[in-house]
Order: sequence, then structure tokens, then C-alpha cells
Amino acid sequence: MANKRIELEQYKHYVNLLDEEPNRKTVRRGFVSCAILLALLVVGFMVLGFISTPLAKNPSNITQKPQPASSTPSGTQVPGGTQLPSGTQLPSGTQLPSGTQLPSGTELPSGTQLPSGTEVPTPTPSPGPGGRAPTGKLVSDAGSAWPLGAVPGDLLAQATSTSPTPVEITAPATSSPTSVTSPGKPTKTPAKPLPETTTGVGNLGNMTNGAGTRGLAIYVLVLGIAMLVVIYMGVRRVRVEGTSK
Amino acid sequence: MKANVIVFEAATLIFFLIFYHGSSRAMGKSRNRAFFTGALLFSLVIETVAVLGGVMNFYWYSQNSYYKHYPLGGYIIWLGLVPLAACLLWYMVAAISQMLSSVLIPKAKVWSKSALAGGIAVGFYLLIEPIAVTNHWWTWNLKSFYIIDIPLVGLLGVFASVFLFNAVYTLTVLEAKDQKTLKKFEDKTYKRFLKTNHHPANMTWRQLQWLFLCRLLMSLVVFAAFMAPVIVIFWAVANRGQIPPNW
Repeated sequence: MANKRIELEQYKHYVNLLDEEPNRKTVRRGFVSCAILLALLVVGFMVLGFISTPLAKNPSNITQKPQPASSTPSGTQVPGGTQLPSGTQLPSGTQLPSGTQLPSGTELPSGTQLPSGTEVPTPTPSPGPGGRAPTGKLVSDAGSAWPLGAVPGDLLAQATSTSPTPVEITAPATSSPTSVTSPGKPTKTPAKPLPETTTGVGNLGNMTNGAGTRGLAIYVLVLGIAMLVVIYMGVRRVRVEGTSK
Repeated sequence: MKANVIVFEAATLIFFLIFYHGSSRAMGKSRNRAFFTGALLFSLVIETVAVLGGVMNFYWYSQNSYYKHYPLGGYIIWLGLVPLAACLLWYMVAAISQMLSSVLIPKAKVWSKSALAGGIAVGFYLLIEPIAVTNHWWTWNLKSFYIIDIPLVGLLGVFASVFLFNAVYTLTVLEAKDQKTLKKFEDKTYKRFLKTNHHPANMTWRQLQWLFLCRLLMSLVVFAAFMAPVIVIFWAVANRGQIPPNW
């Protein structure tokens, strides 16, 4: 009796064996529920992969800083063919596609990249405080979406928010080093810096745009099915064990 | 169309609640609790070091200051520099990998099982990573060798972390063994701290949990020793550079 009491006294420090070694049926059910849940997770990621394809098509999406939807900060992309109202102030880093017409009064800050073919008007004197309303042609081009009393810059914000696919795919701006060479000394070619976006086959955008822009979908589908097969093999083995014992 | 980070976070939390219930039945309540606590701490340490290691410039998660276009900013629940959802995802992947490897090769050695678990985890992360980086759930900016915009360092890290964690869990909690090569070291260090010289199989559950934690700390050192040269090597053969911190 004394020994039994000592044994029980010691036992309370140990784990509850029923908790730790649940019966096989409980273990099996637990495993199957976990496996089904992870299979659902895999299916969910396959669906997310399909709906993420438009984003992944942009090769530099990964390294682009996401922009708030409500304003036009630096790095904004202007879709091709957009007409900017006069007096529009472009933020620094704005990239303009070819064909964009810049009206008089447009202020171009430093860092703005102008492609070939962009018409830059000669600077005109400032119209004074408050700016100048866009011309009738531009207002009619903007359509009925032009808000009453909108300030310059709203059209740009609207254009960027309403057009989901920009025409030009942009890479992050890189500064090109200017090398100064002195006569008589051999010119040193500066070491080529590594690209800031993944190059070659390593780029997700390249894979996505491959196979008729279904590269990512095929990848996700194949990998997802492989993971589902592995999970199924585990579930099957557990079920076979359950029926045999 | 963008898969919002909030959707990912909410879905992960819901999945976790159901998964935890299932794994409690599959592993046993106390063992699963130990596995979960260990996995949470283990992944949290690794991911925090990953974020801090590049001074938040080679790996980071969507933060409110950075992702203001999301309805609620970035992730809602954070454990320091790492969102809870990322740790919970790692726990679920590590747990199912451990269970699957035990079921698929039940009679194999611990190391083989752990390697299989690591391989399965890499499979899961190969599926998760492209979608995560596309939707900016997290961002890799490490100077490294990239495959479909995932650095190989990251995939090797997943394999090594799941491999080590499962090996430690199996050797400490499931099979409760002493490692011959480490016995002397363990007797002098954490077994002295735990005030026991027993074989792990004869330890109380509380002592076993502490031993598990100590061995996890040890495995973190091993993980760091493995990853450091890997990062250096891939840094040397990189196919993508870093974007400056002020981008």
C-alpha cells in the first residue's frame, strides 16, 4: 500500500498517458482532419495563384513599392495616351509612356523620365495663383468622370487608379554612374552592378508570361497536385492501418 | 486582382484553430502543446533574425507604414518584427510534415524522417512563396541567387529549420533519447541546470519540456552555423542585388 502511494505520488509528476498516447482511432481521426485542412490550404493557395497571375505578369512587381490608392506619389505610372491637363504637377519619379501629351504649364520635377517622342512644350509664364482650368478639349476628353471643382492632379490620380494595366513595365530607377576619364591613363570599366530585379529564368514574371501567360497557373497547379498526392498517400496509409488492425 | 494580406492573416488564424484541435488528437495534448510552443519560438527567432539581419532590408513583412493601401495597413497581430500568421503557418507546415513523414516511413531512422519532413515543408513553401511575394505579404530583397523570385537561401532555410526542429522533437519528446556524441556536453550543461542526470526516457514531463527547449536553443546555433556560409556563398554568386534602403 505504501509502495502504491509512493508510485502514485511519483506518477503525478509524469504526463497523463491517456493524453499523450491517445487511442489509435483518435490519432487517426486527428491526422486525417489535419491532412484535410492542409489539403484545403493547398487548394486555397492554388486559387490564390490563379488570381495573382495578372500581378505576377509584371516582372518588377516584386521589387516595386506598393502605392497608396488615394494619391499620386513618386513612381507613378501614367498610362499611354493619357492627356494631362495644363498646370498638372507631376511628382518626382513619374514615368511617362511614349505618346503622352504634355500641355503647357506642366511642371516636370527632377527624376521624371521622358521617353522618346514625348512632346514637351516650352515653359510659359505661370497663370497666377489658383492655376488655370483645363481647356475644353481636355475636359471633354476626360468625359463625365471629371469631377466638378476638381483640382489639377485629380485627373492623373483618376487615370492611374482606373486603368489597371499600365502600358509600360517599369524597372526601379537606377542611377547610371558617370565615369570621368583622364587622358593617358587606362580607362577602368566599372564593375557591373547586380540588377535590382531577378533576371533570367529566376524571374517570376518571366515564368508567368511563359506558356501563353499561364506559366504561374501551370506551376501552381502541378505543385499543388503533387502536394495533394503526398497528403493523400499519408491519409491512405493511415486508413489502411486502421482497417487492418 | 490582389490577395490582401488581411485575407491571408484571417485565413491562417482560422486554419490554425482547426489544425490545433486536430493535431492535439493526432499527437496528444501535451506533446502538441510542446510542439506548438517550440515551433512558435523557433520560427519567431529565425524570422526575427532574418528581418534584423539585413537591418530590415533583405527580408520584411508588410508593415502599416509601408502598406497603407491595405484596408488595415499590413498585418494586424505582430510578435515584434514578425507577424503571428507567419509563425502559425510555419507551425502548421512543420507539424503536417512531421506527421506525414512518420506515417510514410514509420520504420526509418530519425534523420531520414526529418529529412523527408524538411522536403515536404519545402514543397509547401514552393507553393506559398511565389504567391506571398507577388501579393507583397512579405518581401525578399537579399542579395542572393533567386529562382522564380524566391532566394535559394530561403528555401534552404525552410529545409534546415524543419529538419532540425523535427529531429529535436523526435529525439526528445517522441523517442526520448540521449545522443551519444552530445551526452557529455548535455550532462555538463543543461542537465546540470535541470538538476537531473537521468536518461530522457526517465525524466518527468516538465524536465523533458525544458530539455526540449534547451535542445531547440542548441539547434538554433547549428542552424545559424549552417546558414551563415550558405548566405555568404549565395551572396557571392548572386543573380539579384539589393535595392537601397530608401527605395
